[in-house]
Amino acid sequence: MFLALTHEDPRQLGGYRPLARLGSGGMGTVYLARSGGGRVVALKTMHARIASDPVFRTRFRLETEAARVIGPVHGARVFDADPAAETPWLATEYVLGPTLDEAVELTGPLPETAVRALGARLCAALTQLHRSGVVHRDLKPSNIMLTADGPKVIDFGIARALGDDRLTRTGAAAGTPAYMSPEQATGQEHTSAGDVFALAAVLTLAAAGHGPFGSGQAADLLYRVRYAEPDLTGVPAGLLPALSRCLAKDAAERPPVEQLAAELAPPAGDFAEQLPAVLLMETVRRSAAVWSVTPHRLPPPADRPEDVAARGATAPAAPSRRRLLALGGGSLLGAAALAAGVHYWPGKDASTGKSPGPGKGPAWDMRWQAQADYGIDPQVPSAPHLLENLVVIAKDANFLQALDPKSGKPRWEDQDLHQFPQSATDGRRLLAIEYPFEETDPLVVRTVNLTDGKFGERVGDLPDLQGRHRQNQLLGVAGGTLYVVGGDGPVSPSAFRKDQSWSLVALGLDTGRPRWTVPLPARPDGSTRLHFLTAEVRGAYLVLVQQAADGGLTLSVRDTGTGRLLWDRPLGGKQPPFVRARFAVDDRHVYTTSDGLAAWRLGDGARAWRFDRGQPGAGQSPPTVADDVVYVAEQGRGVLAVGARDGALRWAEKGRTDTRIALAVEPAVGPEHLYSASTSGLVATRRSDGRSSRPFKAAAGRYFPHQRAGLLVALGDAYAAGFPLL
Amino acid sequence: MEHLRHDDPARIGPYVLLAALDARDGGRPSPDRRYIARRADGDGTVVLCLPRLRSDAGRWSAEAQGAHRLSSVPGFLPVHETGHDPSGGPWYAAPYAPALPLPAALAAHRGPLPVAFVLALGVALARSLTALHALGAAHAGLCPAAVLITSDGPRTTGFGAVRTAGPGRAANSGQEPASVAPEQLTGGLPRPLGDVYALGTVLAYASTGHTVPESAELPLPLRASVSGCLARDPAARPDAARLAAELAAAGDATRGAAGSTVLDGVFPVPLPARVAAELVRQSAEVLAAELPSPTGAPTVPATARG
Repeated sequence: MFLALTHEDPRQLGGYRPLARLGSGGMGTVYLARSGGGRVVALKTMHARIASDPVFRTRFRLETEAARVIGPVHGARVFDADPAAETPWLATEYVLGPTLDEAVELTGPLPETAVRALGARLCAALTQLHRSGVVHRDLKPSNIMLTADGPKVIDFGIARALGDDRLTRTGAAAGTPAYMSPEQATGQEHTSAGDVFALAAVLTLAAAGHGPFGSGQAADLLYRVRYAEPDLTGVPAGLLPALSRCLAKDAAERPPVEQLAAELAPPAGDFAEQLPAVLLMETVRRSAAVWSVTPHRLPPPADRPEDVAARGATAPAAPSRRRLLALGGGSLLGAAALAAGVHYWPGKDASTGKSPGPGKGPAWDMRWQAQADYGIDPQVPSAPHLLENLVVIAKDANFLQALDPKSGKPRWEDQDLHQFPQSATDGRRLLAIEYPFEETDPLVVRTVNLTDGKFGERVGDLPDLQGRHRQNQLLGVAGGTLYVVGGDGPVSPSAFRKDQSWSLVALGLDTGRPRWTVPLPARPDGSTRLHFLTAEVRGAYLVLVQQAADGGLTLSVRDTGTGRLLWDRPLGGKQPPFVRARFAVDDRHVYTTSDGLAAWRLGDGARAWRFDRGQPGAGQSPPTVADDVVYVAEQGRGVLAVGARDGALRWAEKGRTDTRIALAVEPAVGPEHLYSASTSGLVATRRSDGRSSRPFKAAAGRYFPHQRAGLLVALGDAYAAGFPLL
Repeated sequence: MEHLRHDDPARIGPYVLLAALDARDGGRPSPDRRYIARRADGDGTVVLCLPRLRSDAGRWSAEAQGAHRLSSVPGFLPVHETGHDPSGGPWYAAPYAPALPLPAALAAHRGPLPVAFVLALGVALARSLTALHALGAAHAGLCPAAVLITSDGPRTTGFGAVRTAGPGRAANSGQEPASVAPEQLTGGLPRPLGDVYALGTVLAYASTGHTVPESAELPLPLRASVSGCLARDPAARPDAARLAAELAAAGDATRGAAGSTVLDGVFPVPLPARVAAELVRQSAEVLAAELPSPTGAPTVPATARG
């Protein structure tokens, strides 16, 4: 993903000219950059303000040295570096390939032979490091890139160790707990045996699609790394003995790297031959896409007084489509309205260098982009709150931000609203659980003032529950009722405790009192799984996906008047829980794809129909329903439109050039088109006949139609963006 | 991709040469000399094509202009710039994207390519010829080395090689002699059905490693179509559109049997793994390549800039 440069990015650094941003974080920014001789590199920089601390500067230098030690076969080739510059920088090879976590997301667990080939090469990388007296300390899937010739280890933990303020803020130890060694988790010395532990954890993800200690909040992960048995479910039997020995809590019991390499017995032949074709083709795609990057720099924010004065007018609320299409040309850039922290992307498709839509066709181009962050591991699927004149997203793991839907310009952000799952909207007002002073204070729900994000009137309290539980949830508002999950008992900052009791409460907004309360199962100590992943009200039915302590999912439907359980059924399937948990509902049925597309009658849960014209074994996205048609995207095929009443195929998409479907993303429905994601971008498909546009630039994420604002809100890992909803 | 040799030009027009696209020693003949080159200011990397030594610069230049006009035909290398270098003669350039000449793809794969991939390649090339022939033009330079494999499908170069060589000299055109249709070897004008013959030799090469195989050597799904293309009598050959349909049907049948996944519109089958890896490797090498003199920009005369 190549992002536009901002006006603050350097024009030149150490003889390199930045072309695009590859990523940025608290420590610094990584650019795609070009030397005077045309060499294209990844240019890693450290913010000057951070580099003013000698400790960080030293760490940057050590990181540079480690990158040189690992060498160009097992790591990114280092071209040049200046750790002493005012803005320290490091120029390395731009590595072609996805990171291991992206790869697993793209294809699921890798075949056993691929894991063996990967593991053996990572062993060689670690051997190379350890021989030079370097310990990696931060081996994890996002630090391993899968090139066509083998994995490359990037980003050593040295510079990061002190710098990950997100983790230090939540009170955890530094680093990435999911792949940390137990000795690291207890603050003891992490030696080469610690790297062996992390390597086995990484290979577990590659082989099984999940890490050996699951996911969740840092404190729970640390606990499990130290005390829990690794979860090796799904690891092929042939790999189990080696991996479980490497995951021994006692470092002395783990085999040395060389022995692990021998046990992995990698298959003969080229690394590329072991990789699933989809993965290799993604690498090929990236190797071509990097050649289409054209430098683009965003102008400074236009709402500074001198800029406004210079134009003699206030900034328009949103540029017209024509204006947006012209942005790529550059000449109108100065006239376009831009707000601080909001980026426009020019109307170019980076993979082809051509404008995505034909001249007369609709303009799909992004209207705005803003930073967003649901934390490393959100506990419920990330989603925006869509209000009439406001889009509310999580700015950071710790607070909410409201954006103007037209411009993406921030209206307010508020740290009091610290937990996204503790807020809800009915489209008109925003409600949130107040964070009280005392642990024993009752759970109080207030409105949130839409103009400044401050708490407003009190709409209800639940004196039997406490407001301080982080696992409290507002599931949604409908028909004058707010659905609340709340806990009673000792407050724990990070995880559930078994001595807490939990309930689902329907809070009447007219009376401020509960209409009904349903007890929920107790959670074991240390569990971080929230009780509900998704919820929706349709008439008299409350449709929920409930999560058990062991991670099992249940689709259940309750009577909104009494809370009575009408029916429930388990949600199986191989997709991650967040994906399986997404259903669609209309007045008649609930639609799920966790185990193939099927419709369940709302009233009694009987199966109304099952769609069996999908390609056998091909994965399907979660469904969306609109106007009596259910839409799903099928791997290798594209979007299918299926009659909601009868389950009959209405049409299958025509002309989609990229059928590598992002299966975690359900189609989003606009007035005339529906949007679905391929690996190379977002595709708009005409609802009338299934004809599709070219893929256009939009990074992986989820897409939410905001019908009244005519806006498609995209939510990625690190950003939110607005597209016209056509 | 090969290192430059002393007999390669260092610069052509505004471009500094970085590497040769084709293997030279023992390589298969290519209608053009092809290089990877970069503007002297470091900005803009291209595939640069020059005429073969001792060919007619004027006629080659005219064909290059033709290729420029036809660069929107699917499957043609998108020529975006043509020029004439005072010492090096005419040239044309296309924006660089990772590309392997078909012989390099076989070398990377260490042998003939999988039949499903060859069928997909054949469909793409036959469709390209269909579009070209509909414009009333003939390629007249198609041969194994003229086909570049990219992530986005095949791209052909060598347009008009036989016309450049002049009447009766087709065998010296740079188009691989075995790919020249019999009627053109005897002096006939290049015609669409001559391209179909050439495409037959390309597919024969891709699937067996040589251009004129025995029929029995050809993989079964290709055998009838390729034999049809290679008929000595042009009238007995299928036209490009029919060939595309035949190959597409054979491809569907093959994929159906193998149960493989449909991946993309251009190549409905994935690139063979070692070919894919070689493409990625080339891209990485060109990304990392530096111009011989890193700050060469000021030394380029302003008049040389295209």
